[in-house]
Amino acid sequence: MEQKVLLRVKGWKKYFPVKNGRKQELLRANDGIDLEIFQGETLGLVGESGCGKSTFGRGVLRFFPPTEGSVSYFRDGREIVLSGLKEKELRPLRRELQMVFQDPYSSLDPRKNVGQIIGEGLEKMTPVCRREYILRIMERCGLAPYFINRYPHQFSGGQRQRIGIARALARKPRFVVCDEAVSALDVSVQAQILNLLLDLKEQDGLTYLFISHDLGVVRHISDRIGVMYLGVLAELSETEELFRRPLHPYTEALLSAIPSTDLNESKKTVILEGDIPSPIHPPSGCRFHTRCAYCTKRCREKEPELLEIVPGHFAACHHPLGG
Amino acid sequence: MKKNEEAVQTPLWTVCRRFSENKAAMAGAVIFLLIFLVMLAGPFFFPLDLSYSESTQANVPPGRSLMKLPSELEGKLADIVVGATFSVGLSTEGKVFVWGHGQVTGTTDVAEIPQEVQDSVITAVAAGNDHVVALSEDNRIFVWGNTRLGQGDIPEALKNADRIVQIAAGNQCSAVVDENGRAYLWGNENLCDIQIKEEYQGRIRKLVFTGFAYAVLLEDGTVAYTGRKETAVSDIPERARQGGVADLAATAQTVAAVFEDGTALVWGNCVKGEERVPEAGGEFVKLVGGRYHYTAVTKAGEILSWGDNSFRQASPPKRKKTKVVDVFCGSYQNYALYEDGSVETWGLKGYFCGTDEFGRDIFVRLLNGGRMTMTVGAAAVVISTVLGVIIGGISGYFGGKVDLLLQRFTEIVSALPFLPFAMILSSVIGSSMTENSRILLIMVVLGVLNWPGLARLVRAQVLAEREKEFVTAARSVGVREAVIVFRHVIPNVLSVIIVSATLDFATCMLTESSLSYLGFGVMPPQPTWGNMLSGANNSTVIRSYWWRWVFPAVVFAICTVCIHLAGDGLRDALDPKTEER
Repeated sequence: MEQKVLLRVKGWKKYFPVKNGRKQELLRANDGIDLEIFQGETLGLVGESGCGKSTFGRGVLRFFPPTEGSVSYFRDGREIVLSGLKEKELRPLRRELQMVFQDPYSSLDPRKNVGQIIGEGLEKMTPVCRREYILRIMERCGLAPYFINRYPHQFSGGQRQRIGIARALARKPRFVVCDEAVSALDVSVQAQILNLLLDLKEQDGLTYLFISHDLGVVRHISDRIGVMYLGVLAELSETEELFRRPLHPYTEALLSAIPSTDLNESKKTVILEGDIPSPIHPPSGCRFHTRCAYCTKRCREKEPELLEIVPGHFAACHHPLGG
Repeated sequence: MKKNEEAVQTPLWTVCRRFSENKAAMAGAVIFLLIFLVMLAGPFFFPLDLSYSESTQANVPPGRSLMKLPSELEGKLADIVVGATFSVGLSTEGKVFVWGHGQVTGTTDVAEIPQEVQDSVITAVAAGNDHVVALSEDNRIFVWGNTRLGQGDIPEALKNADRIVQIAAGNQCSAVVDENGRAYLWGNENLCDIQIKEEYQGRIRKLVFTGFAYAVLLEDGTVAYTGRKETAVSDIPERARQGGVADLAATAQTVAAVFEDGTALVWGNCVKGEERVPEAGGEFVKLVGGRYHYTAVTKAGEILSWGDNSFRQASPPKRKKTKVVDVFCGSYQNYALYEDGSVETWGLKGYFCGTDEFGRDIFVRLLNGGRMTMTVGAAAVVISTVLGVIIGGISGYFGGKVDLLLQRFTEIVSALPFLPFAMILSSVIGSSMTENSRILLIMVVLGVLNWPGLARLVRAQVLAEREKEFVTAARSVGVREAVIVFRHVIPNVLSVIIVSATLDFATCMLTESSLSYLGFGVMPPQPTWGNMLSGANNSTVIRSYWWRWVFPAVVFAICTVCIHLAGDGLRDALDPKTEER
């Protein structure tokens, strides 16, 4: 099946200036990411806390300009370089690129009711039309019509997240970044929200970038998965392929850390030693070498590139597993 | 779930509900609002006359008993004379009673009637502003009260006088008339023209005192001015000089003559309508004068009053069924004696909160001063809030260099020593200003020096709010920055602003009062709570005239405490941390 590219990220770098005493230093949140997101797919993005997943998600939506690199958005066969646009030029494109936030508490304005939250940015519609539209969206997201006059503090976390999804959906987006969209919710509610996201995707033909640190969740929802480590992409593959045959040692460690309820399954657990290194001073060579069990001299010196080791399966490792 | 029930759960409603559940805050808010409304509406009912001053009413303690007759006088009232703030009653048995506020000086109380007066049978009494004169059955004269200025120096010649027919007392002076028509006067010559021209001696029938002079009725029925100085009452109208005068009466500035045909004529310095003798009055049987008003009884038994009516002293009660026997009047008080022995009173009962050193009613000044204090406080808060919100908002939202610059500026302003600075400003700029622009200046100074606290608060809050995800969410829809500020940031900062403004209101009122107390704020006679307290900076006032500082202090304290209670309650009610689902 020939897949259409929706977003192409090239050499994406995002550095943040930080002050360390008197010295001005750079926090390398994203340090060279190349990625293509295809229309209609769900790309999962996993990684430890602080590895730059959210920065990447927000950067793709052009909430801030990159330090280096570009993001291209393909629309009606035309390529639009988002990273080159000014805020004013971006505004009409904004509604097509939406986001569902992690924290359902801070992402809703406590002084606005549900109708106002979902209806923001739809001022061009007539009030009656707008209300009808909002109610339809709410219904699709599993919100009762009488919620329309309620305020965020009157809802549970799951309901709030539904409001957040409804808000994103109301603009008829093509691409939605779900930044840890279910992490703050409890497991039973997580399942409901995931299913809602999947249903909506099917109905509207959406494309998701699904950011999470929870592999189980990502496996459930994603078509492809990207694994991030310390600001770079370590591995990128089809979901089942990744779980069956991880190529990067970091992915292997991550997968083995998924708790299992199956008592009969005997599993080798790879335990990672130490903490994730500072993104201000990333290790030389392969960023993972400080914690990698298969580390060699080459790993310490040369940074590996993200290569297609198996068709459709990319990994940035000098010594890919099973390779 | 009912639909209607859901619709009202707005954040505002939640805040109101939570606020109303906080009893202390609710009480504070209610009491403050009450005080505020009273201060707002009070001046319309009790207007303030800035130029008013009444030396005879100075330092009267709070009370409503200036016209409270002792029960011993019931049914046997012979005469009442009225001093500045006290009344002296004479019973038919020759006993003297004093009521009202008799404390005429720090140490003298006219209510302390000398023993020899109590032992004698008194036939006549007269009251000056601060002393009492009494005549006994055996032709002896007694003086008590304030006698330090010669009020008690009864002339030697009087010791051998023939039977005395009339005694009179004025402003620190006294007089008697004997049966031969000779008058003897003594007292403080500086306040009152108490000389007498020798040619009139032997022809005097009656003598009346005004505040600064006296007039006499001669035996031939003419009125004469027998003093030596020219005064406002010495220019006697032609008609009164022709004769036919039956009686004389006087107020502080005027003299009135009652003619044999029952008509009356008033002359002198008529400033409060003393000359407006009622036309359809009928024949006057008796005419008596108070401080600025006259009260008369007509032949038909009707009581008429005219002149100054500021204490309703010229508003006699409606006619009773029984006949009026006599009326007594003086100062601001009136007494009417009826045939059945009952006594009716009208006029000044007393002062609710006492009076200050100029005889001004403290209650009225409290109301008007409260309005001034609150106006200044409110205006200052509005100015400082607007400045604080604008500066803090810009600083917080734009950040970076703008923030740095504005924050340093804020620090400079907040480092100015407030009171000294305000004093210097108000004395340097304010000295050449009219009273109203001075008040305006104080509002502006208070406002301009008060904003840094709020600016910092707003800045911090804006910094926090603009990083919240709902702002990002709004941005991701393509909402403009300016719209985000007004729609998302400001509403969420509003609660901080409201609380701060409430608390600042109390602070500004306090600061205004400190300034006024020190004499750099609003100047007297325009009252504010602060400058009303400024009289209380000496120990005499604190010890002897407690009402002059206790009332403003207490009202102010209650007001401040209530504002703080309400403000704290509001803070709790608005605090999102206490927000439950």
